[in-house]
Amino acid sequence: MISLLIAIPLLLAFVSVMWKRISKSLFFLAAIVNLIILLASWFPNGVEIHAMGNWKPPFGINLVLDNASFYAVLVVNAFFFLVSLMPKFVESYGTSLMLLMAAANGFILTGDLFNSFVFMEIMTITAVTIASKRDNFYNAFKYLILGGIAGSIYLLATIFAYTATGSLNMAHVSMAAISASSLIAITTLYTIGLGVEAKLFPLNGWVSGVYGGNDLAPVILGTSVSFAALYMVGRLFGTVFHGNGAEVLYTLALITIVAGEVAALRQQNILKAFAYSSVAQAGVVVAMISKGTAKSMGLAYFHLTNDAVAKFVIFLVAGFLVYNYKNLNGVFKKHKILGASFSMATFSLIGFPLFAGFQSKLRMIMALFSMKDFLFPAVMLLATLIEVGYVVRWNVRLWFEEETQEKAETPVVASTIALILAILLVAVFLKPEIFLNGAMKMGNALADSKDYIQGVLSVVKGGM
Amino acid sequence: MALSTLLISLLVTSVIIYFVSKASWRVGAILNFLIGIFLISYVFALHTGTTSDLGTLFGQKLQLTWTNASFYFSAVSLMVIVSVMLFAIKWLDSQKYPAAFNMFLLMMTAGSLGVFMAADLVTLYIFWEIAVLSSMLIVPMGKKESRKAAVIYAVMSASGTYMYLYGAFLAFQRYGTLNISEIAKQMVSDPSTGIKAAIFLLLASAGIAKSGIFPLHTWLRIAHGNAPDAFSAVLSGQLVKLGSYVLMVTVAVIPSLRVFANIPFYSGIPATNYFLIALGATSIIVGTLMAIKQDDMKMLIAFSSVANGGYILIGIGTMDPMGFEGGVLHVFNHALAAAVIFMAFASVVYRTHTKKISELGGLIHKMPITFLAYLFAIISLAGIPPMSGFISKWMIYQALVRKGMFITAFIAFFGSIGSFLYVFRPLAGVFLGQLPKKYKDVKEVSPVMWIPMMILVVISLIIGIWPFPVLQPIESMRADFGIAPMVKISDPDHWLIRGFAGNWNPVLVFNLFLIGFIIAYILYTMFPRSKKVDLLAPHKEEGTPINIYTGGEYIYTPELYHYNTKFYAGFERMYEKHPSWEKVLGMLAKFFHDLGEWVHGWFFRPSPSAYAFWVSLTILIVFWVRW
Amino acid sequence: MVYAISIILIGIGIYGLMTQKNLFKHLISLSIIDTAVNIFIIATGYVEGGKAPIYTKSLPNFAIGKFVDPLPQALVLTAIVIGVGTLAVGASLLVRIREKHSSIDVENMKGVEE
Repeated sequence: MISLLIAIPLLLAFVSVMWKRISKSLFFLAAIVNLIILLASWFPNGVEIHAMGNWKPPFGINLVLDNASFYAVLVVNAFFFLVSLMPKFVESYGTSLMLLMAAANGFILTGDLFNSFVFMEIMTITAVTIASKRDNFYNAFKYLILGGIAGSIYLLATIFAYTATGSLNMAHVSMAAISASSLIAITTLYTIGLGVEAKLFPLNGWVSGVYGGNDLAPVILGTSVSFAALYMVGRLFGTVFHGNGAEVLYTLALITIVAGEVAALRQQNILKAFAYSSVAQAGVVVAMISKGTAKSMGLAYFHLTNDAVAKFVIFLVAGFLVYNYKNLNGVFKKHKILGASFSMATFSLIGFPLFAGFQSKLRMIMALFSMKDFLFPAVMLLATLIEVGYVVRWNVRLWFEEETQEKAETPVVASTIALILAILLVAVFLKPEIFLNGAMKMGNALADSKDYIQGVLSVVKGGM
Repeated sequence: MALSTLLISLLVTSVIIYFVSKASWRVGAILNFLIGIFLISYVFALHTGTTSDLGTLFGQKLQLTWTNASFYFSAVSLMVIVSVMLFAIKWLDSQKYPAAFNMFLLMMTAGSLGVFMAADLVTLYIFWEIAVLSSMLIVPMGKKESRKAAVIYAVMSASGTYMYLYGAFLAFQRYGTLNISEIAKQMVSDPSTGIKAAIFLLLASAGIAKSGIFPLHTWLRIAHGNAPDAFSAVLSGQLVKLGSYVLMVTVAVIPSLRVFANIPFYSGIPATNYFLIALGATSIIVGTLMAIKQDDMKMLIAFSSVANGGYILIGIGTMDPMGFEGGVLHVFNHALAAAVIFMAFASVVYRTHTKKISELGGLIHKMPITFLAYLFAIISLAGIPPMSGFISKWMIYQALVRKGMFITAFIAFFGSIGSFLYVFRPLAGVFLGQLPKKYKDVKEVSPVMWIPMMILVVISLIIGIWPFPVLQPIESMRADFGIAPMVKISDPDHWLIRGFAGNWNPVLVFNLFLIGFIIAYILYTMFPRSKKVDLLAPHKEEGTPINIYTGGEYIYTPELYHYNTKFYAGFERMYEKHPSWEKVLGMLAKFFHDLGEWVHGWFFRPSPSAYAFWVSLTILIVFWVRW
Repeated sequence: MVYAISIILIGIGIYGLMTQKNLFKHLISLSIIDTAVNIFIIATGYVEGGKAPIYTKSLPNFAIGKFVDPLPQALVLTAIVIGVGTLAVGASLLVRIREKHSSIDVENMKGVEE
């Protein structure tokens, strides 16, 4: 049934090309059907595979649903669903969003390296079209070039893996004995290939332009797509390559954190400022994934979920502000609900108590200390310090500065969604299990490559 | 009510207060005040040793306990907060965000109480951040500069807090527990001095940042100076004391003398404590010198808070029974004095809308009660008997002299004399001298505003005469921490505080002062009164008063001739070219900004060519490193 | 030999990306890299003297161990399609860039927001 997660949005995307008028409704339909499918197959607690065309693995393409991919798909589709609730926001991008949804789901679910390359390219191309909203063409083009290079390198890595193991199936590759030197080549190339989407420094040049260029791109790319990309980092480096090349990821990620935060500090554009913040958070997540244990990966995705929820609110509110006001001083006096949600989300980002970010940040620091890693917590706290600087500055500016005469109508649906998500952040602080259980299951599933191999290669369940 | 229930319901109530205040802020303020009164009665009724669970966080129990220290600090805090809450009932009508002010004030109260009750490091951190967050959101409600102040406050506070957090988890990693007393126990037997010292200093840095001790003191000037006026009283009187509490926890709850017995530095004081004492001494110098040259009266007292934070740290840092008691008592004295002073300033600003000393003058005729409150508060702040401020300073000096720490003692004396200078400046500039014509219609503030000030002043005076009610809990705290004195320090049966170099009998001293005052008053009534003169510059509209002779010259810049401009010119000239720590920190901030600019310019802004370059470079470097 | 060609082509592509100022040339360079990777893939499947991996009744010329790996060819087909997609999106973006910034030369573009 999970192949429907890809098929439905893809089908509806083609329908919407012919029937432009209802593309928004189709998008909503796709999102809600996907959510229903996901709710029906709640946490499989094992490995379910769906062999396309009934080719038994390791041959052919198969989709894998285990706890890890389920949680990732759930989060991704939930954000698509939230976006589909705001038709004004979607405008004429329904088709692109559906394609993106299909690609992201496929990227996460696939158990085939080459297939994941295909979905990644589709994801990049659709993301580029979304990035070009509001005439943001040049930045979209830069993203395309960078994404294209990354795609080529990803493909090269896949081919290396194929020549080294004779298989493209992730489980099969994971099982195979690969010589040390080809492993180095493969993991390095994957680091670069995924690094662009996972926003690793210095491959993340596109982020500020794309996220800062319009209101839709950051909301969807900064949450769903980056979740999908970071899921793949965990899948490849955790499950398939058993942590080979983790030191490189770790080093790059730490640099990413610092670079992202300092770049955010000096930004005058609110969207770009938080775009850089999401770069830094991606760094935190990647560094945490690179530690390689089930716990660290679980916490990484817990943090990523918190961050994505907070970022969704932040980008939603910031996008609304930037494209409705010339001068942002004191605008929250006019939009109290938007303001309150924004502030709560930003405080969650820092990790103030009372908000979700606190739970994940402290847990991560604690886990790192118990692994005797003293550098990463220090970097994380330094980054948080810088973050406090700009988060407080933005909050103070948007709440307390003298307001201007400009006026804009408060978007009802958007502010409701923002408020609900902000309250969700508080709820997660009080009851972290809401996200934590799923994330920990995901971490366990990613770290346990034996289970994965066995699940994929021995069980065959249905086809399409 | 269990402690945890209390704190959580306070947090919830604060949100309710917001909505009540939206309907009528005055009702909200009154409710706040009533809650404050309830809290005081609650605090006094609690028994030490009461514990309560807050829940479990990542497998660690979060606990609250009520100790003698919690009682003392909570009582002092509530005294300040409740008076400000009463003050705010009237004062808030001059403010733009009364509802949010009420909410955050109550939230901050809950946070501070939680800090004092915390039994483990993470609980402390949680409530600490709640207190910081809510106070940080009140600060920008002031005038324009206050926005920037909030950011600086948040960053400086966070820098201390995150060091603390690092230290807390370092301790957790090593000792497997977050419970403060457990950690203290284990630290005594831990052989590794380096890690112990690191934990100690990291934990202490939260206190250093919060109580405005030297390298992280600059936020006090900006935040206290620009925060909403009445809130400065809370900031300086109460919130800064959170820092003193954390310092006390690190120095005394963790028995630093025993933990660091292997690195004695001077006179039995370990190097770590001595380092803190040195920071405290630096703060006294910096705070005093900077306070002397301020023209903004709130910034002046903000720097005085830096200096007084130094006294507290020195007193506690010595871990001498006398010094410890003095330091902790100084918490009380400074809290009360600073709160009254800032409330008095808030009253002045409420009526005159300026906080520049050189624009004020002669308000003694218009606002006599405010003047009296200020006068008594500065007597206490400067440490002159018979106010309570003297006793704590006297105790600290006793300890310093007994330990033979002459340099520190000298600095402490210097700070004390300096404090005479700086507290006199607003006294002379704001309340004495000529009343500018534009303030001729200024009235005394309403009783709602002066009653809280007077209550605090009276408490301070009573404690100055009979300090034993306050010394009592301090002695039990000291006993908790196992700092045994050689003699009984407070001896209420003989009305004495016993020091090593002589005893202090506050009642006797008060009577002497009273007699002196009566004699002076008799002399004052016997001799003829001075006459008021009104010297006006004739060409200025409304006649700006200038109480100097102008030698037949026209005066175009009368404010330069206000006698409070360059009040201590001769003294200030001695250090006018001093290096500025604020500039150093500003450079650090600029460095991060520039780094961000650089990162943005090199990696994010450029054309696809540069992206391709970075990608290839990364591939090459990674391959090179891994092969 | 074929590997060398593909590596040289990748080098040319990256050189083009790094040195050219014209955005369309960037796109071409990207396309060259794509092609290079495709050549590389095909080369990996090549077997000296191998036969086409087709096995039917009429063509029983199949000997185990002496056939060309068919998978890379399938992969290349897909990769080519994706490359075309990228090229098309890029070209359409360039049209709009030309309209908006009046040039597709990095140095002559007007009104670019950094």
